[in-house]
Amino acid sequence: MSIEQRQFRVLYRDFLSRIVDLDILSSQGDLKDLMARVISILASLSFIFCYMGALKNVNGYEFVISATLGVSGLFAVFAWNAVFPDKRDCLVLGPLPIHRRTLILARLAAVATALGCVVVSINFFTGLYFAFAADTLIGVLLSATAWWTTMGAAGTFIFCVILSLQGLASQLLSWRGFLRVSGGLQLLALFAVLGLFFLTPPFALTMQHPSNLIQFLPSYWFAGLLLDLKGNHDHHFAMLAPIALRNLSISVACAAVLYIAAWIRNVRRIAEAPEIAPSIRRFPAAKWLLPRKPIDRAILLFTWRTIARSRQHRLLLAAYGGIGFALALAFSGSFFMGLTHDRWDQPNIPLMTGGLLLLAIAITGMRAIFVLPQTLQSNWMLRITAIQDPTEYFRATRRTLLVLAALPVLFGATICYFTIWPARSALEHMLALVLAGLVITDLSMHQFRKIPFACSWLPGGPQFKLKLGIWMLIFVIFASALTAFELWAMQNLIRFCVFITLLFFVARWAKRRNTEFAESPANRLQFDELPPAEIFALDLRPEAAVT
Amino acid sequence: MLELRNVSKLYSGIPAVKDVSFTAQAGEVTGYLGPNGSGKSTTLKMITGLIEPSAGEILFNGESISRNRIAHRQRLGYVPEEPHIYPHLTGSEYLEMIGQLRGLPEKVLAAKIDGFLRLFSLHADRHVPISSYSKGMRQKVLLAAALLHNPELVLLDEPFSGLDVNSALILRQLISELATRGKVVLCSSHELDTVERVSSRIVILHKGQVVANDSIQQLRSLMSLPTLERIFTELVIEQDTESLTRQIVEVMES
Repeated sequence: MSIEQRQFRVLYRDFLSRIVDLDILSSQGDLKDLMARVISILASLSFIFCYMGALKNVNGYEFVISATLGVSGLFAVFAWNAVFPDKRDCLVLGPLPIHRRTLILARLAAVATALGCVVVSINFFTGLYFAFAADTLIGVLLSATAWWTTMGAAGTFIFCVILSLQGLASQLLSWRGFLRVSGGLQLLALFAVLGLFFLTPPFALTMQHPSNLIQFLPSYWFAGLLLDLKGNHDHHFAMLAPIALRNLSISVACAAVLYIAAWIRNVRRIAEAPEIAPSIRRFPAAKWLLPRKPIDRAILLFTWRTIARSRQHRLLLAAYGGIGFALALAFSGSFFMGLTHDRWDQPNIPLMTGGLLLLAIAITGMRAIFVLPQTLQSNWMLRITAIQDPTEYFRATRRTLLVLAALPVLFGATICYFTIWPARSALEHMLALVLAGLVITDLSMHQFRKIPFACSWLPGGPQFKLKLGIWMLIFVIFASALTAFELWAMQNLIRFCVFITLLFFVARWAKRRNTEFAESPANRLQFDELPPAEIFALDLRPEAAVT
Repeated sequence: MLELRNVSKLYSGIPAVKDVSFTAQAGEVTGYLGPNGSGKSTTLKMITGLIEPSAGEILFNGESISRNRIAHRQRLGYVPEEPHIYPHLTGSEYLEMIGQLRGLPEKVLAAKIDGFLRLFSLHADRHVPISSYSKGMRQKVLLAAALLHNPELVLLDEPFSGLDVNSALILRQLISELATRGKVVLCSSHELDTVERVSSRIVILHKGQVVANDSIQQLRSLMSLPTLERIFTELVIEQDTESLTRQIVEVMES
């Protein structure tokens, strides 16, 4: 094996292990554990698609293609920082005798492997089902080829689009400018992928009267490509396969050019970048908005600055935001698809539930990232400056959660509901939403004794994930029922007053429960995930004695 | 006055600090010396309250620090050995956070931060993230954070680490000045020459135990050695440094 091949192997393994932020997704950052989990989840989804009979008609084909696009798009978003060289690559690998082509090829091979795993996993059972639905051996082979070609093309297309977006931004902007907007673009890509998945209208229905809309729906093009490769030349779908091939070619070509250009140019720009990072702009005018109490101010600013500047925290929050956004779209999407007879300009369950889910996931998502630490070694300062009562810290953390998670959603909801609904209905719903926000905040803060980002964390707790999933499912069902009840209450002032009073008492109970917990004399701030044991081993061994 | 009485620390039964006793008086600088792994940083962490002693007692002004930890923290300024600071914050933001956590009034804090940043030559980079700071700049931020609230007890663990010559000279003067103003200053460092100049009392630790605890003049006359470096070498260094150097070169060239 030549030196270059050995370098390639080493680099390939290293790049593959850094495709996504392992530490936040898998216990102890174990690559095998992470891959096994992701593959099993995606393969389970594939099995569910088969079990639900998703492949019985063209709508089903389009749905599975849409899912493949969605999952590949999410992979591209999560691997955002891993596809281009970073400062570590430039500083560590730069001085080593490695050809640039070896670096690029190793990186591309790692990304292609991971993308391939994602596409194969999400189509594992559907691919088998689709192929073996054919009667003859030749039919099975042709169907399998059509299926995997289409899915591979769909995954490659969405990945190349996102890669091109990133590459274009890095070429058009200065390096500092690119670093500043990169997080925003990543978030934009996440919402675009989710929006595309949830807002794509039913395939067969739309194709009865094709419009220019199909030019913007990739799952339609690839559904057309699948049918074309399978030998179905129905004139309704004939125009789709050429669009798929054309757009796939454009995206691959753009991604290739921009990727190579970015490698060549960015490595130089990163190496030439000054050691001192750009200064961070401040907004002195916003100071009056901050709380007066020093401890409230400290916790709020620390939380805000950590979220704004930590890629890991931003990414996780974006993932929660994406789930909230997807659920809100799934509920309110019925208006866009014309699947409901409700009037959108009057209070209705889809929009009310969408708002409530967005609020709940913003709060629980923010609360969830509070436990993910930021530079644990630096916590010594928080410990030695802990000169105030722990209750003060708990209060400050609760206020921070309200200000950073609940307030922005409530602000957006106020604008939205007051714009589209009559003022009284909007006011009534906002009142209910504010109280619901307080309840969710206090429930999520129950027995929370930490300063945000300042406690050690044991990632990958399966029980926690299971609990979270079950609670999410229950809450989605509960949210629909609650908004249906609220809508019923809003039709009569007395009923609404009773509803609000009930909600108010629940909010007070939740807050009082937290206050009692916080003010308990035995309470203290928690800086380690595992609480200290109540019983200590005395370690009474002769060699342990102090002389 | 800071007093340690028979303080020990065991990690899984293995002693890191054994039966350490000494006092550090207000108005003087106490040098705390020892080779790597001798237990200096462990002792300082016990004095800050970051870790609990396995045995013994630490008193400040006659009162056990474990009796009222919050009161102790209010009087304490600490510069750790490793410059661990939240790297995503700017120098100014970090000091602001520390001041707020210590409950300093907003105006006083702003003036102090501005003053410290100017005097430590960090003002131009005050809005730059700490992740971009050099080791010396981080050390200055740590010093500023330790002095922000005018502490009575100043614990310095390798404070000269990473500082340039000019900054090191200023810090040396500053340490003496803090002592002159009645603070209890405990300074751990490998810079023997500097410690010799600023300290009035020396505690030398070896393998977790105190092997010398006296004024520099007394140590010199007791051991009949002219410098602190010679005293330290006599008490602590067990290896033949010349032979070791030769062996390293031999391995390098082999």
